[in-house]
Amino acid sequence: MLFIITGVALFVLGLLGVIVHKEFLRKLISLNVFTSGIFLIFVSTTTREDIADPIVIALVLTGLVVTLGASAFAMMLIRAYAKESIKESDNV
Amino acid sequence: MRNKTFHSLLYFLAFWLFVGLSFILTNINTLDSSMHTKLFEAMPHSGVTHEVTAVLLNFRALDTLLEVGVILLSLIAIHALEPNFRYTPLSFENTITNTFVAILFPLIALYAFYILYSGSYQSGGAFSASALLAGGIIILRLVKPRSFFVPKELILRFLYVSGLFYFVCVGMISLFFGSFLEYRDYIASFYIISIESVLMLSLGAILSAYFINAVQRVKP
Repeated sequence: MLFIITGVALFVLGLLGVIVHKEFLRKLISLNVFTSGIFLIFVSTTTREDIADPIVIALVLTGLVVTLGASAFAMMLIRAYAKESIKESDNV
Repeated sequence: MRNKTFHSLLYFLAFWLFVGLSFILTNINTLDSSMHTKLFEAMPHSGVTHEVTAVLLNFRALDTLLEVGVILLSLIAIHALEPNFRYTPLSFENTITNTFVAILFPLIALYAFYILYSGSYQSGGAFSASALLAGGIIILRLVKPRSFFVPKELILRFLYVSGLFYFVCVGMISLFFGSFLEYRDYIASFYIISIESVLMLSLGAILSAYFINAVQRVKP
């Protein structure tokens, strides 16, 4: 119950962050927050009698690692973009 | 002014989304456990005693194979962006950092191996162990970048690919006895442990390469 409400709060906050903020780094962090909210909801809705479903745990583990790879790549893209914009403003 | 009204509308909508989603999700019925009973019936044939490891590396091994592929792909994409940056290392000679390198790093590596092996009977396994190993390598790299032994790029690339390569090789061998990545009972335990060991080394190298490439500074 408490876990589900926390997960929903994380999801909504992250979604809001992705829409509201203009900076790419803040968008990326919000994306990570809302994926963790989804994982929390997913695990807590399938837990019965205090035993988590092993299949769900395996799926969430897969999702976590894929999120890690995606954020690492997004980080490098943001850095490359920032470098290009610095170079352009220097030329102007 | 228009931006402000848009934001307040968004906050209002987000609040009602929160209320509605919490109401729906707290009243949801738990799904029936047909998969759960099937899993526990199949456990004796999996070769390990922990359910999560069995699901990850035996029953749904193809998912894990593709996941390793995704991680490798993202490393390749990062390497494609790499010529934009150049690394200029800093070094801090200090008692604390020297003690870390001498004492803590071997302990972290040892603990990573323990986590890896304990994955067969409790929570743990290749991904947790590789995260731990990558953390150790990253701290070592940050603390002592000059004395840190960096292998040649070719060897490193072989290390990055080796996890996926070994996984596919095991899949090909299992093709002779059945379908792709479907092990016989008596050899399943050996396959799972060996795949996890190779995956730990290769994923540890990949995860630390993520960070080491990302802290490179912009070329002036």
